[in-house]
Amino acid sequence: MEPSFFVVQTLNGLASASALFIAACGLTIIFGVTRIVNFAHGSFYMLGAYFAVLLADRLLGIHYGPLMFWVAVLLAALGAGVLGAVMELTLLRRIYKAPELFQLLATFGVVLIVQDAVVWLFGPQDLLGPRAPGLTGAVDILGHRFPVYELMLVFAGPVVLAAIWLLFNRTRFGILVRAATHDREMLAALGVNQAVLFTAAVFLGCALAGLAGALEIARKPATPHMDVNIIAEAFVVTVIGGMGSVPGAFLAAVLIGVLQAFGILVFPKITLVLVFLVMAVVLVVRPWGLLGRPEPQLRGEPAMMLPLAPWSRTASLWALAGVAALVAFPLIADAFALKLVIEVMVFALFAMSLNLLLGLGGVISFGHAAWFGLGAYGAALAVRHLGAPMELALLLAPLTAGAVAALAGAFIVRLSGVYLAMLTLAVAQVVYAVAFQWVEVTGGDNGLIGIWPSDWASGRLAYYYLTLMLAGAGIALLIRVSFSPFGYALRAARDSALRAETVGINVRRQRWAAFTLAGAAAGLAGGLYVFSKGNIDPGALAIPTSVDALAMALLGGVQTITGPILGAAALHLMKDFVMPLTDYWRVLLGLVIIGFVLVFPGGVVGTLRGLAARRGGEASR
Amino acid sequence: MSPLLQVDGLSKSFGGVCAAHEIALSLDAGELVALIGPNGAGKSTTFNMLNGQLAPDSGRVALDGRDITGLNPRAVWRLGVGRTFQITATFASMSVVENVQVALMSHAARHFDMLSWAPARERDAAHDLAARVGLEHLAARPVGELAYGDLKRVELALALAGEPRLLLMDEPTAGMAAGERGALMELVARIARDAQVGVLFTEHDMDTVFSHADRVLVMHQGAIIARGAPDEIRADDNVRAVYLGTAA
Amino acid sequence: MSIHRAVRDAVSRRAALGAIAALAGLATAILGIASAQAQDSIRIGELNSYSRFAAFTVPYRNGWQMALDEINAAGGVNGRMIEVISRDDGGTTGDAVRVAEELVSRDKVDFLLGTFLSNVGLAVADFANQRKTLFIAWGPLTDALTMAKGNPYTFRIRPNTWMQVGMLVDAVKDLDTKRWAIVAPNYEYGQSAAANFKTLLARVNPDAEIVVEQYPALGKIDAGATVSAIEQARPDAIFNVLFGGDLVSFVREGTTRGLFEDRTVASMLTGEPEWLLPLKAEAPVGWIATGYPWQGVTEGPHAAFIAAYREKYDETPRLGSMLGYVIMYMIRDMLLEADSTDTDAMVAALEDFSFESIVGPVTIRSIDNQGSFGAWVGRIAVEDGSGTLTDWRYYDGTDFLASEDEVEAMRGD
Repeated sequence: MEPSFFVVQTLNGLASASALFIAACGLTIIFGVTRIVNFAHGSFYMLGAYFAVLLADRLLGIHYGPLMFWVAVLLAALGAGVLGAVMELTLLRRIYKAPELFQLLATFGVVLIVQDAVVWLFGPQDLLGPRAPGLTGAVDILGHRFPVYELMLVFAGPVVLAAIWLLFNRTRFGILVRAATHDREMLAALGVNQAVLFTAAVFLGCALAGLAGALEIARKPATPHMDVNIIAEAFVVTVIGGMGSVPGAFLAAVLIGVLQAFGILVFPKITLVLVFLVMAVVLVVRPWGLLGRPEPQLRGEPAMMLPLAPWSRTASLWALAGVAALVAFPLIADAFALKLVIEVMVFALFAMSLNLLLGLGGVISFGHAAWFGLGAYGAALAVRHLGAPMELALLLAPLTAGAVAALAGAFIVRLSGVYLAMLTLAVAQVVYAVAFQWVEVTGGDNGLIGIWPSDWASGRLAYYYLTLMLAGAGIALLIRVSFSPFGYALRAARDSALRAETVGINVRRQRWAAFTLAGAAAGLAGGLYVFSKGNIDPGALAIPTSVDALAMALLGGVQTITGPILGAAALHLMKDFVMPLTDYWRVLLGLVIIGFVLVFPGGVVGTLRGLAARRGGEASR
Repeated sequence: MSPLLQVDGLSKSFGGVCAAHEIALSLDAGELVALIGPNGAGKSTTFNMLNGQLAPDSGRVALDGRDITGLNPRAVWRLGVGRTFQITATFASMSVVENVQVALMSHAARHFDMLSWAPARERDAAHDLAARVGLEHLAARPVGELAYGDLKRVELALALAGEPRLLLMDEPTAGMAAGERGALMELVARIARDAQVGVLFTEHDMDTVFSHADRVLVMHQGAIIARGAPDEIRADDNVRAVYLGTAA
Repeated sequence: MSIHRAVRDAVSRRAALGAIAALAGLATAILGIASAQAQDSIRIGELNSYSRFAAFTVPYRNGWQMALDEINAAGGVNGRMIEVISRDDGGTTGDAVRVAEELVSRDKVDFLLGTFLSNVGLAVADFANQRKTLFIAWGPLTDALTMAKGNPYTFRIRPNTWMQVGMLVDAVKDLDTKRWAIVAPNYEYGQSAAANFKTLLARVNPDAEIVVEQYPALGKIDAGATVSAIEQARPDAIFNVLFGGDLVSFVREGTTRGLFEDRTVASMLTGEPEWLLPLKAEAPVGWIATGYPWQGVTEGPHAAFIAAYREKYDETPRLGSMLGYVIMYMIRDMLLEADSTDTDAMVAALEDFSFESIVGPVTIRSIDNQGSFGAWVGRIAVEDGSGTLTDWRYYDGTDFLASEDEVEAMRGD
């Protein structure tokens, strides 16, 4: 490699690193102060870009010059920040007492709404912004032409870092933010108004997201997909750096930017997977990221520890009635209704498997799609490459997913809290990238098609009963496990790891077994799914699938046995109902999710149970 | 015959600050020994080293003559050491009986049993144990709803579930009313006598210490500065200095 | 399209459900208490990514809607009206197959039409094959749809990746270029376009060599690093498969750094209005690209279509608009030929089917069900602040179809 090229490629990497850092540091600030994992961070980034394009066009039309461009960028960042504060005031503030994952779900609702709002307000077509006046040219660096704007970006990252450092070390607000990040109880004890601090932190974080988006307009157009494209990478940067650490985020961004710049020279196709590989390696070696502090728990963890309702005679009767209704359902249903209910049963098993980790284990998995997808791919590959019949493939589905879950779980359960969640996300993304990239085997993003049931099960009715039997058996097993000594010990480890260890329970091994079992159950769901659809593609392994599982479990209520089943039914049927109504169905879905979160902060079943208990005259706590 | 618990030269420092220095003590079956000292004296650090939560920098812990230094808390528990905590640690989502059931199932090595029906397992034994620590009237209540004193009793039941030979109790009566304290300590003393269990406990309330302990150890700044029968300790100048704040 | 109209359309489609509360609606949806259906119309189940890829799919919907209105106004097909039941496919295979299932089993449509993404197209095609239902694909470019994973029930008119790469290679084969760089998005379309390019380039120019390949992740290009990596290899020419936001970043970086100076660039799809319009005045002048030069169409039925379209929708046509229009007329002709909505009859009608489109005659060959519809290749220029295609020529697809031997080697049926 020529030295001059080395220098230029390093600069290229640093320019990307700056852009990435600015996009990610707001996320880490919001997490540090409020312990909210803001899924909507990418949405504010996207809004910043759209605002900047529109403002810059308008302002440069009035007077063409650098001043107007930068005014537009700053106004766009402010606009995104203000919208972030509005989100905090109208939505997040109402649910700070709910289990922490509800905030994540609420921000996901915001993602859906903003996605459609952007198309509705700004049109579906990409919007190309102006180039930055005065920075459109290039400078000569060792014989290579290097764009001035990129050079400016190389310095913009450190400038933002320095500005945040000054803000945090030289202002009262910053000192409070740092205090909140490091020791929340102390802050509360000092009598600081947390509500104002939280709003300010979300404002600052979203304004930084908006700034990152606004700075991008000189390099790329504002598009309705840019939120999704940035969010995973922003997560990765905050996690590698250490959640809550701004300098850590900077280091991580530089690491990724430079690795990417040189990585593509050696492996041009590494672009998909590189960032997640780096994250997985960093988390295995340094479980709290480069500059992170050990184990920041997500907000309100104890709220998860509500009693599990005992299995009563009434519950048995309900279960029997439910099974009987499902057995009789084909008598009144048409073919499509059967299809819908098949999918509901599959997703119910999927959500239940996640709930074993989430509800009983207190282990938050952001990457549960991995096991669903591995089951689906395991079955599909067995059919495609081994010529296996459906029966064998359906057996291989849970085995494949369970085996990989056992392997990955061995590393994952060494972590806890949000880092564990992020490692599950990284694993899922690596699995996704393998399915996406290993075209010869997996068919790449086109996926595998023609994976249909054996002849005897190919009729809709036969497959309905097959799904009812297998998903039902899986769900029954998971319920049984919840009430087994293993399930009790798992729950004990969640309630108090310290106490569990001192009564002889190996918390990690308990969680590892749960992880493996949950992976296998999700894999069975994936296997049933692939034969109901006839095809599988990497989309089934992607983040939205994991979010779906979380939404189903949370909407139903994680402290309940039946919650995830009802959550799966509600979410899936709702989606099917809403989609044909309008092109803007994402808004409706997002509003419904937010509405659910606000009305049922304990999940539907959990909230209803709480109400019933209160009416029954018993103290619910 | 070796003593039930024999500790020699146990030391631990955190970042250069010595939390425990050359701790040596021994304890026989059926004996109640109090470990007292002002806040920060190193009592909890010592406890944590005894049950394996902290690895000592140096020194040796032996249970019935067997070296248990460096074993993890699970292994120590399985060898018959029960532990309660200064800040109670219980399974908040479960009832009193379920808490005890979990410990009993673990003691019976059933905690990877995925198929049997846990609510029915060890149920009678758990109720018996709850009754033994005086919680029979609260057996079905979620521990999250219990008063602090009752949580201490739950902890005792959990510690007893492993059929311990040694109980390590960190502030077992904190948060209790005076009468309740006496009752609990009498219960502990009875258990110690009947089952020949050794009990090492820390305590702030001097009345409790002097009326229940067979022997007393006094810790100050990481070291044991006095040891002996309650009356001897009461009269010890060093101890007075530490507690009354005059120079030693 | 405004949200108000979208909602109004939706409500009129499902008038019965409109007033019912969500729960009752859900029950209705599960159990399939269908709304009243017109009995004698021909029903087409149409699904596409209207929500996720509105910039492409809405013009297409305008196109077929216009043709549909014309056909029905002229009396339909042998007196029967055509009714299109149009749905969002969600942009994922899972949603799309469920929607297709609903269209077939609940709405009782006679056949399926649509899709944009390749993976969604393949999944719906496979579903159609399983259910022995006709499927006419609109948007997917993947070769697999008609080749490796083709099936007897799936037909496509739009020229696939293989054909469009072939046309581009033909357009650059006489230029003096030996050292080629390839830059393509890292997914099936990008990879197969790159692979096709290598194969086809070697056929016309055995001396040519590929000196560098770059595969940035779709939507996440690190443009500076990618441009430097290409520049470093000092190619004579670049084959580009990037599009959308990635392309804009690449063009801006490459222009500032002088990557395109004195280099030939052959580019997939860049000349289509869908991709050119967002580039505005920054369209990469001089690139040789496939596209749709509607501005240059001045006579014949094609020009009449363009005029009518602009009149009706107050916007310029996209490639998708024209394709939607062409396909709807092809469907009419197919229905006339089959004289039935029986799947076998319609499939038989489409085998070796020839029809006259507004662009010219098109044949669907029976060996792979791929239409011979062509594409335009020209040079990109900027006029009045927006990109156009100049010096273009229409390449009839017939000459660029994969050979029958190649198809037979790949297809299993």
